[in-house]
Amino acid sequence: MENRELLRVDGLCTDLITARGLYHAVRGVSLQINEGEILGIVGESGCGKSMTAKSILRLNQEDKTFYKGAVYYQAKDGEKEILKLPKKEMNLLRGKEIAMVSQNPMAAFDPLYTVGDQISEMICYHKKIGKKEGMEEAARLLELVGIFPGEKRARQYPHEFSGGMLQRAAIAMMISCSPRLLIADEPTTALDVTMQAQVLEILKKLKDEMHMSVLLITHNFGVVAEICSRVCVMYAGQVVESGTVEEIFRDPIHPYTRALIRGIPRRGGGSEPLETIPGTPPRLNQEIPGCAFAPRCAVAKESCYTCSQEIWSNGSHWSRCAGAAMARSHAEEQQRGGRAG
Amino acid sequence: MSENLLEIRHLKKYYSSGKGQVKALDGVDLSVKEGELVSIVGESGCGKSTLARCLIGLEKRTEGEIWFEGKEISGYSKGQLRPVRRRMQMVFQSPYGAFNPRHTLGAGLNETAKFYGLNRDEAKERLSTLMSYIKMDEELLSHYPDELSGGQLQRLAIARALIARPALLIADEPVSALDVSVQAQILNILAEIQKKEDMAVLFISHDLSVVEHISDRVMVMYLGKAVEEGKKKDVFSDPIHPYTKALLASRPRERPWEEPSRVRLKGELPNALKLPDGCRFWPRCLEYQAGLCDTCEPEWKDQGNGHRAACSLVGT
Repeated sequence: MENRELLRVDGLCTDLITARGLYHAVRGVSLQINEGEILGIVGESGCGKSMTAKSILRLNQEDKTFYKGAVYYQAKDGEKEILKLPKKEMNLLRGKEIAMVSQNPMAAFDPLYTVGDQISEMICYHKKIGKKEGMEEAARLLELVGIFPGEKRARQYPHEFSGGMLQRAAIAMMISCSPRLLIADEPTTALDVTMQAQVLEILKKLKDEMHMSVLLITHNFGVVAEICSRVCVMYAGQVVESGTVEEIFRDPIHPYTRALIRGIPRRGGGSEPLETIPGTPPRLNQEIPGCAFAPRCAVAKESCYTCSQEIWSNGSHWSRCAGAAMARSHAEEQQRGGRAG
Repeated sequence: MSENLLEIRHLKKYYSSGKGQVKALDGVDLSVKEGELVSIVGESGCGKSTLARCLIGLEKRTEGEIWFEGKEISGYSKGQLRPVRRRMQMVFQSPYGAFNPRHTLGAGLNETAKFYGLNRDEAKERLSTLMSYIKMDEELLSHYPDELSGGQLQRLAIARALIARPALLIADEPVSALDVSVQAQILNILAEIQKKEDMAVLFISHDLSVVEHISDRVMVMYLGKAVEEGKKKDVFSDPIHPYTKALLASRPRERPWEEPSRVRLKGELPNALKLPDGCRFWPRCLEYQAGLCDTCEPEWKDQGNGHRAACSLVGT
């Protein structure tokens, strides 16, 4: 059960038409989410992590977006290619099979309707049930995400909820039709640590008890360490490294991943300077020959700027920089040789 | 008055709304020595930003005293505050709103220099020192704000605050809006400048790892009150107050192979209009004792070494 594929993104490219020309937001992303696992996508703002999520649900403005590649979803009635699905079928998929929670919970609710109204609206649409049953279901869902008493809370308006509660209510709304995949785009970024802990706990519970798969987008490595089983690190619209959380934290290969992890203040550490990454990410309105990270990379060679990078992989752990992997195993060998000698 | 650069005594700030009074700050004491980096940490709504705004005079305090460089400044008028602000500067969370979009960055920084009475040569020299502190090319000063990234703008905002050589810099969530890699740059720069200019910093943040990295001393706030303060090491490795303990425990794991924390803070911040009796934290406290916590206002208990907490349960 664990390793059955649910969603597979294959060479996804998303190009957007903007006032300043074509913008290559996603440049060939491949990833896979299995049933009942939490996959994390980490990266800095502008790296394409949210765009990847939006592309999976085709939430971009249709006439201003070009997709290449494919997104395969294993529906109960066979495999579906999301990017080629007709609009009607897509609407049935959204919310019912794949749901998405975004960063700002305030924007997820209309201030003029009660929270319960808005949660039940979606249930009534997908499950074709009456309003009264919908409200009962909404109350039950609110209690599921720890908002008590559900019945009273469902009749309240969004402004009567705190930020953390509203985010949990947004999750309640999104899981109302028991989707098999929940895409959570920075669900805890706007929240305090204590609220963050509560939201993460709920996501973990959904995975454990309802066997839901979660695609968690975040820039916070702590969140990844807390609940993800596998991670993709993204840079400039590409996945640069992926693997299990253990592999990424214990043994990061790509120079970008390594620098990112070393830039986080360590607990109990002194106040010595943190490692920083010089420069800024490239603009994605032009083709980038070679490695997109090369201008900021501490170990880049001349060839990195021009040639596409060789890929390194040992099964579950994958990196877009074979050079770094080779340098590392070389150093290990020397160390071993030194010890033997 | 005393050797402290900044001393806050029993500072209160109440806001009245139609439904009653919100006690955003309810008797906070804090002192900052010269050249010291003190952090204030707490959840949103705990009053940490209100404190900063009262200090610099953006808000008028309701009660209490603010002693800065030996003078009591809390009752100062706008005109009286002007020379004080030269010695006390502030950096805000969002660098995007900090610069005039129609002026080049250099024009903005030079205007500040002129305002503080630096002549052209002095301004040029000061700016070039500051630009080297923030590790940015002076050429960037001829650009407009929208041409720079958030991290670059935040570095310039820090530089601008330092033009008049303040004795105290108040930084209100200076890295919260920035990416991890940029955050590291800003933290390094702040720490470096603080040493080079021998300046005190009051650092306000909700991010515990950042606070743990950068501070000398830490004060933890909850609902308008300080609950614990002490040297960084004492507070982080040996927290006393149940709130500090819970806050530290709710951080996500640092590495995936670490043991997950089981301590979870339940519930939400209470309604600021209807604060609980006794200790404000008791409805969420894991160590709550009925009859004690919900009746008596907790008193400060000193553990020595400047490490103290306001909890009735300490020492019982």
